[in-house]
Parts: sequence; structure tokens; C-alpha cells
Amino acid sequence: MNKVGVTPAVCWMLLPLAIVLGLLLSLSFGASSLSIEQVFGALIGNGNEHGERVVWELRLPRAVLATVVGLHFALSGCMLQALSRNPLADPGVLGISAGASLLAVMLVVGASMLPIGTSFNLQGDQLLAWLPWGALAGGILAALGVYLLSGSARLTPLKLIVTGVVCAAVLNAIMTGVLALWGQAHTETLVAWLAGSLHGRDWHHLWVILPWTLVGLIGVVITLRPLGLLRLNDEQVLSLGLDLGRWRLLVLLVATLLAASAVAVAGPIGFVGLVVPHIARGLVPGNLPHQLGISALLGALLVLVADLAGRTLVVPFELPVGVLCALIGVPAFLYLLKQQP
Amino acid sequence: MAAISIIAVVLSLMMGAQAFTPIDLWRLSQGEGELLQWILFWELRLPRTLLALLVGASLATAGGLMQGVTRNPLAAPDLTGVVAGAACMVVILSTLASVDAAWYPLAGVAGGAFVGVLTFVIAWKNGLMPVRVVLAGVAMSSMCVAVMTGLLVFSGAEAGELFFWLAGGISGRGWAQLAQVIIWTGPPLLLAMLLVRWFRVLLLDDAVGRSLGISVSRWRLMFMLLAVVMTAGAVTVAGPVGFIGLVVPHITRQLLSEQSVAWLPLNAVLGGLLLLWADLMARLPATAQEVPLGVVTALLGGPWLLLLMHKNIRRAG
Repeated sequence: MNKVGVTPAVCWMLLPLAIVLGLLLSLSFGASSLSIEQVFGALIGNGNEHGERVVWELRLPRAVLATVVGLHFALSGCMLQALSRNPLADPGVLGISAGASLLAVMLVVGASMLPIGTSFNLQGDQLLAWLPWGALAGGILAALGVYLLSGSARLTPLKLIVTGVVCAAVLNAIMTGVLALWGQAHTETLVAWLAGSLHGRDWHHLWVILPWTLVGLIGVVITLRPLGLLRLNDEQVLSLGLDLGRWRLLVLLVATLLAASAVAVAGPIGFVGLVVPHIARGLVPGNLPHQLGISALLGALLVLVADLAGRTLVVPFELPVGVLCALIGVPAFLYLLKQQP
Repeated sequence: MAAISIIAVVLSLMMGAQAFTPIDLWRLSQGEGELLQWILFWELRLPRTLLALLVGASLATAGGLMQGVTRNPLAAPDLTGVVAGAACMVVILSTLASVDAAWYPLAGVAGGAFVGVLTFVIAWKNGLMPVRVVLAGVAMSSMCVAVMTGLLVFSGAEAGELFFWLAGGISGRGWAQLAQVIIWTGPPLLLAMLLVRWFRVLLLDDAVGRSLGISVSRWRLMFMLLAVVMTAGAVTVAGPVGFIGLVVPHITRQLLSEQSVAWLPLNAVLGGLLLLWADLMARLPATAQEVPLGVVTALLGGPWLLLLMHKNIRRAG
């Protein structure tokens, strides 16, 4: 990329500021707008009842969830791109999101077929808590399938991407089939979820995803050094005495875990994992730890802003955040594709 | 080949919620039989069978044309965004403008051509590399899917119906739809077959074409346009059915040289057959709701494509 790198320090200072600003804007804009004073009042606990309820029960969990989900997808994409030495890898492109959604959908459909009155009901928190596990299993299966099908050790970036695209298409088709056979009464809800949506998410969803965030972040820290080395070519890595296969698998697992848990709460939001690492690479070329950190912050910011825009652009309707991320992400992706040699 | 085609056609006419025996079919063809059977046969089975053949033939031929003209084994109507563009335009028109259904094919052609051209323009960088085309196409498709999803969210009640159309299928289509498909895919199919001489030149190096005094880029554009019109015509009736345009040319290439005059017609025949079989399988399960056709083609085509790629890797490695 022919951009001039910005010093990492500037990014590290500006991005958190931007996220805080985005959070404040998210809290104040919406169906009923609150002034900044009202938001602050509600936050420190001396606002009116209406403001406090809107801020604490509706907007704050949703905004925080947006940042967490963005962080998940962006980190996952950044790791996958470093792992595959391929600037076009991303949980969506590689079929991980599709696999995660498929198993999550099957879990929901399966749960709905159980007789009413069993403890395992559709709206219940139990199902919500199980969704990340289902999504994780689906994501891992899809990731391993794509990895093996593209020739595992001898994989080339092209083969990996094309295999991923094909697998994603097949998985999406199966999912469409499951939805169509399930019956049309519920499809609207699931279609909205499949578009990637943060509508109606509350603290429960946040508590479901946060443990995974923690595990994912620990995983990122553990794999940081090997990941930097995996970007070199295989001979160099092997000569350094690194167990290539094992680390590759671990990195893949962490990236899948991050993406799949985000899919479980917010649906398959595309392009965040693809575009954000590119921007991070443009900002701080060559420095992987900084790239990962800045990717995480940028991803959080992007989803936060996209969700804010989705809520406020076409009142009284609400555009799913996945739609907006695609509308922002695709042109950026195409621009990057154009820039590449 | 001929035997398989005949078996498929007969099976397609026989099978369904109300199954016919071959004897029934014979009686019907003689103009006898019960009225109910007669109606079922004429109004449902026959148009549906013909529609399957035609849609499959159009998609496969479009795939063959695109792959040949761009010399890109991954250029297919679905991977280059043409299918998604056509579907997107139809969804836009049907949700926002509620225009007459007769305009859908035209809208599909416009949308498909627009997105297809955009894909190639974006992918262009000192020539067209297959990977870049696929990536640009996938990105453009996601954009279209995003727009469609956004519109589906607004459309509310229609969402279920549109969703089923978007999954791809030809159930419940009759003569009116068949006529629509024939109008839009028949002429380009015929034209492509008639112009096969120039198509074969395009398969060679550009220099060869130029030395023969042929305007390479003009013919390339011509064939791409034909492919787009065929695709859009098929998509507006059958929904975005994937994989046929991608997989069929790969299979036919194993059977016959691309350079052969019979290659394009072979694509059409095999594509039609494949879609007919897929449609048969979609009808097979005894559920209230049929399996969407796009699901069957993806399940048939996806593994096949992966196997094909795996073989190529083996050979290369």
C-alpha cells in the first residue's frame, strides 16, 4: 500500500476518543433524542426516569454490544489475513460465518420444534447461552472443512479463497433450505438476524458474548508472537523451530471463536473483518501487534457508527447493521482491490 | 445422453404430488384420460418441465460464454454478480415501484448488465485476473444482497414470498412464465449458437483474432451481453439459481474440447438436464413446502466444484 504510515501513538489516542464520542452519540440519538446533558445525567444517575431507562436499558447495552461485536469481527479478520498471508481472507469469505449461522439457525429451528412447555424455549436465555456453542461448532467445522478442502498444507491463497466462497455459498443455500422448509411464519425474524442486526439486544446478549471476548483476547495475546512469524514463508518459520501446523490450527481456532461468538449474538455481519485490517495496515504498515490493536478499535468504531446510522437514517424503520456494514465495506473493499498491485 | 434426457423428461412429467404412471402419460398424449389429470399435465407438469430445461440451458450457456470469452474458469453469472444484480433490480422494482411483472426481465437485464460491467471494470488491472474478477464479483453480490435484505426488512408481509423467490425455484410456474422466459432467453441462445464461429476465435489468443481481421473486443462485448440477457431472463422467472453456470462448463470441458462447434450446445443440453434433475429432487421430499431449487443446485454443484478443484490441485502438486 502506498500510503504514508501514521505514527501508532496518534491512532492509539484518536481512536478511543472517537469510540467514546460514538458511544455518546449512540446514547443521545434514536427514536427519542436526548440532549448530551440528559445522557450524562442518566449515566451518573440523576436524570429523569425516562432518560435513565432509555440510556441504561436500551441504548447503552446495544452500543456496547456493537463495539464488542465489531472488535470480534475485526480481530478475527486481521488474524485470518495474517494466517493465510492473504489480504482478502475474512470470516465471511472463508465460510466461517456461514457455518456458524447454519448451526445457530438449526439450533433455533430445532428448539422451536420441541413441544411448548419444555424448559428449552425459543425466547429463553438458555437458548441464547447455547447459541455461541452451536455457532462455534459450526464455525470450526466450516473453517476446518475449507482448510482441508483447499489442500491443507499445500494451500495457495487463491485456492483458499475460492474454496471458502464455494463452501459459504453451499452453507448459505442449506440455511435457506432449512428456513424455507421451516415455514414462513418465522422467517422475518431470522432474515433480520441473518442480515446482521443489533435490534433489541440487551445486557443478556452482552453477558453471553463477554466471556468469549475474554477468551479471544487471551488467545490473541498467546498467538501474537507466532502469528508475526507465520507471515514469513514456511521455510523461514520451520528454520526458527516453530511447530507450524499446531500454531496455525490454534490461530484458526481463536479467529473462529471470535467470529462465531459474534455471529451468535449479532448475526453474520460481513466486511468488517475484511476492510478494517486493510485500513490498519495502511495506518501502521508492518507492525502486527499495533495492527491487531488498531484493527480491534477500528472495528468497534465501524460497527458502532453503522448501527447508529442504521437506527437514525430512515426513522421509523431500522436498517440492519449488516446491511450498512456491507454498504460501507463493499466500496472500501473494491477500492482496496483496485489499489493492489 | 439421449437416454438420460428422455428418462429425465418422462420422470419430470410423472412425478409430483399426484404421480402419473407411464400408461397415464401415453393416454394423455393420445388425448384421452381424466380431466383432472389433463389439467395437471398441461397446466403444471409440462410447462414446468420445459421451464426447467430452458432455465438450465440459459444459465449453463451463459456460464460457458462468460468463461470462454473472459478465458476465466471462474467467470460465471453468479460469481460475477450478474445474477445478484438482476435479482436486486427485480426486488427494488417490486418493493419500491410495484410495476407490472412484464417489466421484470428488462429490469433484470439492466441490473445484471450494470453489476456485471461494474465488476469487470473494478477487476480490470492490466487485464482481467480470475481471482480479481471473483473477488470483485463476490463483493458486488454482497452489496446487492445487502440492498435486497434492507428492502426485505421494509416490505414486511411480502418478505416471506420474496424470500422464497430469492431461494430460487420454478414451482407453480405456468405457460405465462414460460413464454416470458422464451422471449428473453430464446433469441440470445439461438444467436449464441449461430455466432459460435466467432466465439471459437475469442477462445484463442487476442492476436489470432486480430490477425483474422476480427474486432475482438466488440465480439467479446457482444457475447457478454448475450450471456447477461440470458441470465436475467432466467433469473426473473426462476430466482437466483446458482452453480449451474459455474459447474456445467467445467463438466462439458471434460467431455468435449472447448473449440468444438458442439461445445456451446452441449452446455445448453447438460445445463437443462441438470436443472431438470435438480427440480425433480426438489419435488421429491413429501413436505408441504418444496425444497427451493437453488438449494438443490448448490448441494449438487458445490461438492462437484470442490472435487474438481481438489483434483486440479492434485494434478498441479
